[in-house]
Amino acid sequence: MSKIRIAGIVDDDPIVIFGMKLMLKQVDAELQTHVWNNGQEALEGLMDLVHKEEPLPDILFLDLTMPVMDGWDFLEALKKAPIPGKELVKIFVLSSSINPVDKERALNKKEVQDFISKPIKEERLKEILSLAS
Amino acid sequence: MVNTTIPLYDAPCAVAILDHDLNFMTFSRMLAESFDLDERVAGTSFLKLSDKLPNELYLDLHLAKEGISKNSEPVKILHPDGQADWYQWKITPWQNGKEGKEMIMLILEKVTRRMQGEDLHLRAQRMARVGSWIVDLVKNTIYWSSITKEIHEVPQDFVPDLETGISFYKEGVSRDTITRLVSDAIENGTPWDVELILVTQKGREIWVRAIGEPEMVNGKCVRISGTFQDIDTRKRAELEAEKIKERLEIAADAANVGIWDFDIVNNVLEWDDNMYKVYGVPKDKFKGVFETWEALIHPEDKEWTSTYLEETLAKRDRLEMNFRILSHAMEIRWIRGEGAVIRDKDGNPIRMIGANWDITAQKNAEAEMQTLLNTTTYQNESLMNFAHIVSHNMRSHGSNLSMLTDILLEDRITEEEKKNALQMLKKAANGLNDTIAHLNEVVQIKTEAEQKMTRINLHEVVHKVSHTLEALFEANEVALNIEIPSDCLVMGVMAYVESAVLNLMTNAVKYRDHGRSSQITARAECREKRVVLHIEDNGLGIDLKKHGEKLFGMYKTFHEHPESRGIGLFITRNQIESMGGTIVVSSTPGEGSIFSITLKRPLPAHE
Repeated sequence: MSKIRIAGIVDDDPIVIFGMKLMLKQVDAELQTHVWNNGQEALEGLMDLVHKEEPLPDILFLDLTMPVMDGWDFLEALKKAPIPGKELVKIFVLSSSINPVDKERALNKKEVQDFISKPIKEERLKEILSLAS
Repeated sequence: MVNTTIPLYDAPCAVAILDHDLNFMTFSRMLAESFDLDERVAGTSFLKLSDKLPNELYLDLHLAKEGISKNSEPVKILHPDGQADWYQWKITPWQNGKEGKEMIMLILEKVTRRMQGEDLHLRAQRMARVGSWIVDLVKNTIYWSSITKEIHEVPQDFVPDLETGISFYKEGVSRDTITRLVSDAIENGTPWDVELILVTQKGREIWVRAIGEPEMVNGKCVRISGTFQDIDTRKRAELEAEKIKERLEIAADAANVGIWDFDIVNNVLEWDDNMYKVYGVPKDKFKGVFETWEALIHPEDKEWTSTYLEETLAKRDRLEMNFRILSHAMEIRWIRGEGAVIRDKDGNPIRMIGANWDITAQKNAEAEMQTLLNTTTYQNESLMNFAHIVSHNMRSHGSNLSMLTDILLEDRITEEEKKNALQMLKKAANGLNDTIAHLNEVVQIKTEAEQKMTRINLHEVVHKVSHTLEALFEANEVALNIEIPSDCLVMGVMAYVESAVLNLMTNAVKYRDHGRSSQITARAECREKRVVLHIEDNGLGIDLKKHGEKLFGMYKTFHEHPESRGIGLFITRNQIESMGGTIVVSSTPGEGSIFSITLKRPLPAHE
């Protein structure tokens, strides 16, 4: 497996985006990040990358509760979207939900690597980036 | 002087004089006619008559030759073709004008016609187990018919007397009653018709119906005739039924169940005492007809109960219904009715019997339970929302705070990043504060609503709210149109109605379509018990297929808009529901949305 070069953050909370970007930079200064504010934006962003023939992110941190298109709908929409290589994108659900139903539901989806409750710690981020690579 | 020379031929009965050898000496015309004889038979033997006669007659004729006379009962003889004839005779042997052996006078009557009638009567009596008896008080004799003997289970040759007759009645009530009745009959000529217990010869107790008819001559009783009927089977069934009915009545009484019996043919409705209690009407106010019952039915239940009854009479055998009545004190009661329809052999309803009982308490309990269930459902929903806020929003702020402090506590970040992180920290803290405020709002809605409901003029409220939004409308070039009658009143909490209107109008401005000039219309539709307020826009619209379920949920926004908080519609829905109203939306993406709020109108009595 190749090294993780590109990460995507799908979250509507500017604080989470700020923190994630900062932490990712500290773990791996060379890591490139895409930020999308909701599922719809993420889907369009991915399509745009395909269109411009740019590489897809290697990893995606996906929030569940978002306006316009939430995390669940995004996962469904991604299945149908014509995005070559989408199955190589490792998706981690990153949610403030501590509801076991949400966790179970997320883990039952084969596209989802893991369910992480916010806030994510730097160590865990390191671990994920190293394991995934 | 008695003229003894009148010819026998003209005698008004069928009579013949036979000699000692039973040869015809002479006969009357009536005999000749009934046996088709003429004078040629003179000297021939009676035994050679072609008519078949009862054996008993021949026997009696032979006895007559020995000087024995006989009065017979009617005797039946069956002919080979199955027909029957009855004969009755009187035989007197004579000798020189006195009783002797020389001649035999035979009066022989064919009594078929009379006996056929009597036979039927007897058979009917036998079938009905009716026995007869006669007490002759002059001769002091008593006669029992064979069925009377059968009923008493005594042999047919049993000879009764008045005293033994009475002693067959069971000691106690039965014997005392009959003794009193008999002496009453003898003294005053009073007839009786009673049902008493008899102890038969074999010691069996049976119920009989005893009827006695005294005959008075010059104020003195000479004879009593009567009948005896074995009614044991019927009486026991009746007593059993009585016992069951009594038990049922005790049970019904204890359970406050009223029993009714409706004779459909004669339109007679009978109620037991409990029914009056169940319906709360005094007994004397009830005429006992179906229409009176109908008049007690609650006006709203009149139509369907009468349809249901008609249908039941037409095609059902059971009646089961819950309905309301207006009792005499104008109080509403819930009644449970159950009954059965009795039909004649052609299937026509002739009778309906059933029971009614008061289920008001049960119904009230049900209603109370429903209210409780609604409250519980509502509270459960509130709790779910509460949990949602806690688990999602509070937690997201909490996790942000935790993340930011982690970052700030590290030395690896730049001054610029630290400054940003502090800004974020303030934002997160404010967010947490807001969330707690919302939480308080959600919890308070229900409890406050009930206390603050007042009559609100919708026209005034909408105008007032739109006045405060004037600057917003102007800045965004939104045209507002209000079509609400100036006397449109609703029941509600002023703050909630204002907040709902404000929220919906701000949303309409917020999600306007920049591609066209915006229009908002507030319209009221006044119905009988409710008022519907429509707030219509020509904005972006909402894809209800996708978001319909979530639309009024907490923290849902469907447009990426900087001011989308998502709490607005959730709070609005909760506030409206707490006032007993509803809110619905219809929308087409790209065309606009209509939010419709339904609120209660004040009761007319308060106006």
